[in-house]
This record gives sequence, structure tokens and C-alpha cells, in this order.
Amino acid sequence: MNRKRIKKIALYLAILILFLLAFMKANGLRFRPDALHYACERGRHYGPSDGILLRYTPDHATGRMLVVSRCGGEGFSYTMMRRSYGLFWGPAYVNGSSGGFIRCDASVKAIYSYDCDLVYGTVDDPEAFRVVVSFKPSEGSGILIDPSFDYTVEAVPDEDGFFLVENVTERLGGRYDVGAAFLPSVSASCEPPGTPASGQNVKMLPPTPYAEAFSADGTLLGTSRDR
Amino acid sequence: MRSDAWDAYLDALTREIRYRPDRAAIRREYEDHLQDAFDALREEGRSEEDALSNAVANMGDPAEAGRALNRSHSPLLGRLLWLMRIAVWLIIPAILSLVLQSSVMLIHVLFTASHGYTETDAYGALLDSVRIGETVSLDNHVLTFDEVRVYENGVYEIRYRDRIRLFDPAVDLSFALGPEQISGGDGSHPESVAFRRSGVSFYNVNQHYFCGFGRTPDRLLIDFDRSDLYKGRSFRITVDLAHAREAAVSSSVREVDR
Amino acid sequence: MYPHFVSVQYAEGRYFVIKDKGLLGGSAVLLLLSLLAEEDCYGYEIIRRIASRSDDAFQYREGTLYPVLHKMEADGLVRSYRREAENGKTRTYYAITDRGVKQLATERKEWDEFSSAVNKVVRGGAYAV
Repeated sequence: MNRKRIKKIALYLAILILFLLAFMKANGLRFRPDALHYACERGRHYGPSDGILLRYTPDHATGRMLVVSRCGGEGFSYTMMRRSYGLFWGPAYVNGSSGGFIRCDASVKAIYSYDCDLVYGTVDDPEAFRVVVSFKPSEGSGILIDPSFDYTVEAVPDEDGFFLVENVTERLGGRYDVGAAFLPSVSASCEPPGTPASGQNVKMLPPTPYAEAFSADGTLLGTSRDR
Repeated sequence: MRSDAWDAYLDALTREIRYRPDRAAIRREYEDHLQDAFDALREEGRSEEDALSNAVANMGDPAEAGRALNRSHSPLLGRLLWLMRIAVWLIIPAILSLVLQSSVMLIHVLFTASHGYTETDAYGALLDSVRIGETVSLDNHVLTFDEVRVYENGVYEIRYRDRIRLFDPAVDLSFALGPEQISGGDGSHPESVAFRRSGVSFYNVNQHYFCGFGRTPDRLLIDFDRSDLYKGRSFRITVDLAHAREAAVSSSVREVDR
Repeated sequence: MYPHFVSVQYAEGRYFVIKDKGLLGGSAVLLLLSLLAEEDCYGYEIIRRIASRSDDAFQYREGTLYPVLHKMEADGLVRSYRREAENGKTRTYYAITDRGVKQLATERKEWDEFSSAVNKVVRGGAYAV
């Protein structure tokens, strides 16, 4: 009822809001993870991608989130983000390696995320009933293959063809660390793994898995090496 | 001056004011009024006791006045305003000083640094300058390529301005021209010699120096290509250097120390 | 004592409703703004001027002045400041604002219409303002 005081309150509020917006803009913060994901895409001058497939928070790092979205049949667009100042979302790594575009043209796409210990991907064939993802090193890679070890995880794709497997290293028995030898972390393309860096621990597994999709009656529908 | 009769009146009045911080000023105003009334009565010739009590009596009911004052001194607005003041004058500078990175950016915003191109004579005499004058809109960046300068030592300078659109939703991952985006007409890529950027964070002036084109190029291609990404943006700018080439041919080309 | 009018209705169906209670039954804002339009005053000065100009017709509880002044300040019609008077006393002075000047013009017009209407009813058309 005191109009003078109301006006002053409104003015201070406007200053606060302006400061907040400038602060968010300067630090690349957003309120919602989706908004940050699309904003990072635009900052890298590609996209916008089609639809968000995954918003995953790893158990061991509750302040972080991986957002993955579909890019037609061409691959995935991902952003790794973290909670900033309790309320906002910001890019996880300041140097810019926290997101980007992963090109993958196969009918079965499988990507391993080292940060989240997670395999995610899509299958194009709607008949696909299960996907088997294998981390077995290829013959010429120089990594010792343990014959007693399974190296595979399985997943069931949902109606969009999207599947994911969490806690991969644990499922693989915990004895193997996926991808540690191939840092920087989040995996690149779905090409077959190349020669690993020299001096790496032979118990490492390549970070780029090989995936096969099967229909309900067991027919092989596609692999991650198909074009 | 103080008086018990006045205190009784003032206490009864201020007790009705629900927002405590306003009580002091109100009390002072009423006390001044009582003082003036007292002085006037004394001048009329009344005794001190008479003047004191009459001054109070003429005021009327203190509680009624206090309640009437309450309508302009609402505790809700009073506390809200106090909160806002604290927020603006205390919290904002505190956040700025703690988070130096963004505070430097904000201070940058407040002071406009000079944003003109600076000349150089580190690469010999200026042989020619070719005006480009093209503007490219790249999501949140507005790039204006101004000119290409050719120097005696075979160094080429590309001058462009980079303005970031503040209201664009993109998270800024800044833009910088790299040698792989520059090529001469024959497809050769130069090497980057120096890079100068001046201005504020969202509007800066860039001067990129290149050399090592192989043969003197007859045109310069600035090729930004993200088309390998999903819906990636690309742009290409062609700068015709034909007449600049004639001038360059006639001077000797030396390697430049980096 | 000045009568407290709540509303007046007459032939044309217009109402004059006194908006503010308290000092002087509602013409308080008009009186105070008129005084402050001439010169900045402090509280006691205002009381004295009103009394002297009206030949003591208006006598009232002085404590009710400040609620009206504070409300006017809250609405932006006047503003207050501390100032030292010639005799060395420091008092809270009130000054009229631009908004107050506009409000004064409005209130003057309304008063003229009101008093003219009353006069027309009470004394016939010859006394209309």
C-alpha cells in the first residue's frame, strides 16, 4: 500500500534479476539440463538435435548428468553437465570437452561413456528384442584376451529403439576398467578400436564396444559395423 | 526536551507501529511537534506544567494516531525492502568477489576497452590492404570480416570483428580462426604467426597473422566448415588478392621468426 | 466542528464520496497540498498556517496530521527531508512533488465542482461557482 516502498522493491528486484541473468550468461549456466544441452549444441554451431534420449546421473557422481539426444540416423549429440551453485546446470568441464557430436552411421549404435560407466545406443530395426554389447578387444589390438571372461553385457531396447546398460565395469565383474587407457574420456566414434596407447595396463578394455541386435527368435538383425 | 507526559504519549503511539525500524523516525517527528507546541504555549505565557500537558492534550489519542500511521508503514513491505537492500548491496558484491572469473567479466562489461585495430610494423612495410566487408551470422556470433592486409615479409593479416549476441540462447564456446580454415587459392594452408584480440568479452576485434602460403596466393579462402556435424553450420569467404599479388611479387619474401 | 460528509447525492445522480478519513473529514489532502505547493513546511508549521488562515475554524487533534502526511509521502505526492530552520531547530520538512502538483489540480477541480454543486442546491443557481 506504500507505493514508494513498492516501487523501490520492484527496482531492487529488477537489479537482482538482471544480475542473475548476467551471471548465468557469463558462466554458461541454465536452469534446466535440456536447455543447457541445446545451448551447448548451438555454441558448437551444430544442431539442434532431434529428441533427447537420455538424462543420466551416475550413482557415483550425483551432481552430474549426461544428456544424449538423437541426431537423425547420423549419430548422437551429448552434453556432460554438472550442478553449479546448487541451483543451476553448467558444463562439466570448462575447457570445452564436455560435449559434442558423435558420428555413427550403423544400424546398431553403441557408445560407452567413461564418466558415467554406461553403454547407451539405438537400434534402427523395430523388431530388435535384445542387444548384446561386447567389449572384447579385437585380435590385433595388442590387449590380452582372457578366454575365461565374457566381455559382454545385454540390454533390451525400448519402443524408440533406445537401450542402455548402467554400471558396466561392475557387470563385467569389476575386474576390468573400460576405456581408462584411452582418455580423454567419453568415447568417440563407433569405429572398431585401434591400437591402444603403449604402456597401458593389459587388463584394460577398449572403450568402443561392438554391438549386435537380435530379434525375439534370435535372428541377427544388425551390428555396429553395418553401414 | 524530555517529559514524562510526553513519553507516555510517544510510547503509546509508537507501540502501535508494527514495523519496528520505522518507530524511531516517527517518534522524533512527534517529539519535535510537541516541542514546537510547548514553545508556542510558553510564549503565550503559560506555565511550564501547563504548556507540557496542553501540548500533549492537543495531540489527541496516541493509539489512534499510531494505528493510522501503520497503514503507511506495513511490516511486510518494510521487511521486504530491507531484504532487497541486503541482497543488492551485500550479496552481489560478495558473489562478485568470490567468483572472480565472472566478476572480471562483469567489470569488463562496465568499462569499454578500446576496440580499434592496432597497426604493426613487425612484418615489414604494408604492401596492400584488401577490403572484405562481409558479415556472417554464426548462431550467437556476428562476424564482420573487414580486410586482409599484405605485408612485405609475406605475412597476411585478417582483420575481423566478433560480436556475441547477448540474447542468443547458445552457451558461448568462443570462436577463433585457425590456420586450417584459411587457405590460398591453391589449397595450401598457412601457419599462424600471431593473434591479437582486443575489446570486451562480447565484442572484440581480432587480428590474425598468417604466413607460409607457398606461392603468393591470388585469393584467400576463409572456410569454416562444420558440415560433418549434424546440421552443422558453414560459411566461406573468398577474398580476391589479385592486385595485391602484383605488389607482393616485387618484394622479397623472408621467413619470419615466431 | 466540520461535519463529516460521507456522500452527497443529488438530482443528476452524481456522488461525491470522501475517500480519506481522519483529518478534516477528507479534504485534508487538498489543504495540505495547497500549502506545500506554496512552500516547504514542517508539521507544526502546517498546523499553524491552517489555523491562522482559517481564522481558527479548523481545530482538531494535531496527532492526526502525520498519518495523512505519511500516506501522502507513501503515495509519492510529497517527499520529506530533514532541514535546519532559522532558529537552529532541525525539523522534518515536506515538499510537494510533480505527482503532488498534478493531484492538487485534480483535487481543486473536484472541490470546485463539489462546492458549486452544494451551493446550487442550497442557495439556488445564482451562487454556482
